[in-house]
Amino acid sequence: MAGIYIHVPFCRQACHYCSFHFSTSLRLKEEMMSAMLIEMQQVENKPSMIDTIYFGGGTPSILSIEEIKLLMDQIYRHYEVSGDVEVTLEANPEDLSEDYVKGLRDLGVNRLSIGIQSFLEDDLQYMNRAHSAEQSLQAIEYALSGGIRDVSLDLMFGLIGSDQSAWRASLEQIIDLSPTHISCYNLTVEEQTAFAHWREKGQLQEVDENIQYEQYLMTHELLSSAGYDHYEISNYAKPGHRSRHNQSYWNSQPYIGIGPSAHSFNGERRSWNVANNAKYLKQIKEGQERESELLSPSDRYNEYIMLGLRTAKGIAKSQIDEFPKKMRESFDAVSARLLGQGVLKSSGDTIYLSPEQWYISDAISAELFWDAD
Amino acid sequence: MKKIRNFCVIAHIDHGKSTLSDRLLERTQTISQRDMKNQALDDMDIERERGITIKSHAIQMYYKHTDGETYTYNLIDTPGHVDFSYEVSRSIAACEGALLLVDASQGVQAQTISNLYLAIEHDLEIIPILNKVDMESAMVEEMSDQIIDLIGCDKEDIILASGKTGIGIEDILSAIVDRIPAPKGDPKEPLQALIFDSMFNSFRGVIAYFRIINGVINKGDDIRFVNTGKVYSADEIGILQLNQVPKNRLEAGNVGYVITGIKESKEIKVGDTITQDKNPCQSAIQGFEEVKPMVFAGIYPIDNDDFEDLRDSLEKLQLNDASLVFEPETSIALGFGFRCGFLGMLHLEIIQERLSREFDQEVITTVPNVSYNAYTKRDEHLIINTPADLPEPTLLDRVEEPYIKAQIITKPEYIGAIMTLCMEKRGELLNQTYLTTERVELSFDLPLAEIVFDFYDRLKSITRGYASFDYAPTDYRASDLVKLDIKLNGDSVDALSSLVHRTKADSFGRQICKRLKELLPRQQFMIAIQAAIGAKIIARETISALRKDVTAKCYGGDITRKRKLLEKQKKGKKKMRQIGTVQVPQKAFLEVLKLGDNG
Ligand SMILES: Nc1nc2c(ncn2[C@@H]2O[C@H](COP(=O)(O)OP(=O)(O)O)[C@@H](O)[C@H]2O)c(=O)[nH]1
Ligand code: SF4
Ligand SMILES: [Mg+2]
Repeated sequence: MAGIYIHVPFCRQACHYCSFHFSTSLRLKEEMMSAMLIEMQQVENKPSMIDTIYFGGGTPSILSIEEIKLLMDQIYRHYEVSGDVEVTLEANPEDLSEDYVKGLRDLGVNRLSIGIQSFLEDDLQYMNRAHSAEQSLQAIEYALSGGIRDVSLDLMFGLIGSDQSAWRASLEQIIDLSPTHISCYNLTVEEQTAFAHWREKGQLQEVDENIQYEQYLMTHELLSSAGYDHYEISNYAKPGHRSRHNQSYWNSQPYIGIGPSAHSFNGERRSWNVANNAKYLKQIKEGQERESELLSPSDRYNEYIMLGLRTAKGIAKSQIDEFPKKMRESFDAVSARLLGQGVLKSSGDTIYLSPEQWYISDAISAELFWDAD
Repeated sequence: MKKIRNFCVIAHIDHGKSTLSDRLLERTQTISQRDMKNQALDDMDIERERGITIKSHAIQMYYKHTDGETYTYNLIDTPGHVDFSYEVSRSIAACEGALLLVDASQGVQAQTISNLYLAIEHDLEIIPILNKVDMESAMVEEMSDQIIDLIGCDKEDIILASGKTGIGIEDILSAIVDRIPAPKGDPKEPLQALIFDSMFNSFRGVIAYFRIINGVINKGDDIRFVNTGKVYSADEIGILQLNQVPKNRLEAGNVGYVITGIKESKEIKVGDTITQDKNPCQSAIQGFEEVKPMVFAGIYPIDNDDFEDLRDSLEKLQLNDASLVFEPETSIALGFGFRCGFLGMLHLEIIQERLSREFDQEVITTVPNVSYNAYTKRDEHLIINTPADLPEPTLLDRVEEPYIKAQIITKPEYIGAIMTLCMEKRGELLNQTYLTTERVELSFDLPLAEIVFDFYDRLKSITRGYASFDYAPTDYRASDLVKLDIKLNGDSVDALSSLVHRTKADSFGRQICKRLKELLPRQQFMIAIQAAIGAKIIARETISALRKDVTAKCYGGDITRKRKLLEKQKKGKKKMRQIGTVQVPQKAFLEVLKLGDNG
């Protein structure tokens, strides 16, 4: 079982918080299409079965149905694809029309992930999103009524425009819409974004951390009682509707990444394309090697800890036993302390963080990490 | 001997000593232009970076005078910080003359005066130089008057110079011959040589720098160090140019080095006298003192497993820095470590930095303290170098703390602020003298404990840098001291304990709690910080639990980067010490004392 990720590196405009790789110029789009088609074919040691396909970005919905068809066809031509493959496409509201959704459905896209971010006009402007709140509602309606099995909506909290009651209202609104899947991201100021730049200059208005934490807890409570299962820090699903593709990242399953900045993982080695459109094109044209790293036992151990502590699945003690003795011992010692402090929880074979504690999962991961030097 | 001149340079920090020395070396072609790095004499990395001279060094130059003769110059460089004043005094004792360097826009400073007095005490011939005259802000007339007031010379005696442009360098070089007397000793007398500095070389062991007063020294002689009584063979002797130049014989008047195979600096004491074992001199050269540490602090490895490595590193540091003393101690909070004695706070910081740079040892330094005399009711006398050693109040008769005489030179407009500062520090004004209308000298009687920590920084800030400061220990006096404990989540942290004067305990306790609140990173749980005297809590602060430390998105393309970021975060934690349940950053122990304005 393996997944394919296709990175579509174009956006209409740059959102102020976004650190993903994309270009706002569509000049290289044609060339990019060809290069990605070539790359799909070129992949060595193709996995025996593709279980999930994911169009991410950037903004995949910038592509026409025809272009997406070319990519899908190429996947089917060169890979063995499972009968119940999950095919996700990330879309921005301004791109969704009735026809477009229908076209996607006909291509086999059965999961649509829509970047709503906020129902408030002020928030959208503050983030420099390319759509209005009204467009979002329209897009959601097309998606929900368009025969697509799974619809996931992205929201963001920790925004300066939404106080507690506004955020509660957004949550109630999204519960009413009843998508099968919801991602709620806490705004993070990433390096090399407009927000980071303003923060450096002391010009970024920010929401108090305690308020953000309350919003996080509110999200957990409201969505849980509406029947959504909080299965990863930022992800909620109705039973049976988790993102299979994203879970494969967290379970260290293999995946193939196509397109600039996309990462692949074969169980031992992670490799990635350059995060630059022109360089990527050159890389494909000249058949250059991608960058990669072979994961050492300590890399794999640290990733297992880091990813396990972000999910409801947690860390399996039986899995820890597969790692070298020194890591096992360090895990036992540090986890015993954190269990004693009530930070970690355990149940049977599993050691995990409760959703309330996911909010400090980075700090806990770092404590449990193995320091190779 | 008639053609030797031994001299040093007396200058306040930044008045241009290193730069001027560079010019002299260049003009005498001791160093070719090509080898000239700026500040050739400062060869420890830290010295170059901090722009100060920590250890003194010496260098020999040859100068062809207008009288046609070539003279040998021994320039003895001296450290420029109060922490190292004993070394300065020994360097001065090795000279017949001194260049008194005064920045033409800054004027005379405290450091200049205290070293000048030392030089005058040793009968050195003073050549006054007004330096940096190339600067627009130079006030030649006014500063010349200051110098004249200070040493009673004639105006014509003052050489106007600039180490930067080279003005006056020739005048300085010829004045050294004309004004500084040649050394007087007698080569036929028994050997008597003053050790004014020593250096450690990892290949060659300890190298002693000496000035021969009387007699001769030959390669291979059995030499005796008078104060330690030890005898060694002079395996190699020579003179100091930019590199060591071996010689077979050195005579009275000259400056040189000797290598004996001694591996530890402790065995060679600055200020000691070298003589011949077979034909010893009658008496040692006067002025020898065992250097006494002024400030004590615990030094602990971050990881207890590194204790033996730390011992090793300290021993190696002591090889070339005999003023560092240490002995093992244990702390409940920090485990095994060492109680170390330093000449002052700068010395402490330098040692900490050298441990890190030269030995890759990251250490924790506990709250420093001075050395107290305690007398018990049974009339035992104890020397208290660490708060933990202070006897219980019920057993204690009295405690005495060390006092100093501080000398501060400043502009009259800052007198008020300085008085306030010194009063707050339990000081008493002894004397106030106007050196000129624009320059006043204040002397204070102060407890040493009050000036070792943040005094100098605060003095600089309240005077906008227009104050210079120097001090000398005076005596010990009875004092009302209490032991102030710091608790983190209820656990007493001995490494943060301190001895403070009772009248200052409350405010000090509050300040420390406040400072710790800034220094400790938030953790998964709330942290209570308390200051206590005995069972009584006198101050408290709390640090709220860490709320947010999370990455919202972690998908396929984020994993590697995210893992690396957290690995870095992990390394940061390694620099912290777990005390009870609380992680304390390495730096917190020292930083906690930088209390700011009402400390
Ligand atoms: N304008 C000018 N600057 C100088 C002169 N001599 C030194 N400096 C500068 O003054 C600062 C301190 O000089 P340095 O030789 O390190 O002083 P030291 O601390 O006495 O050794 C440095 O920035 C030098 O570049 C000079 O004659 N003229
Ligand atoms: S958030 Fe999405 S649409 Fe906005 S810049 Fe980033 S990738 Fe493009
Ligand atoms: Mg210097």
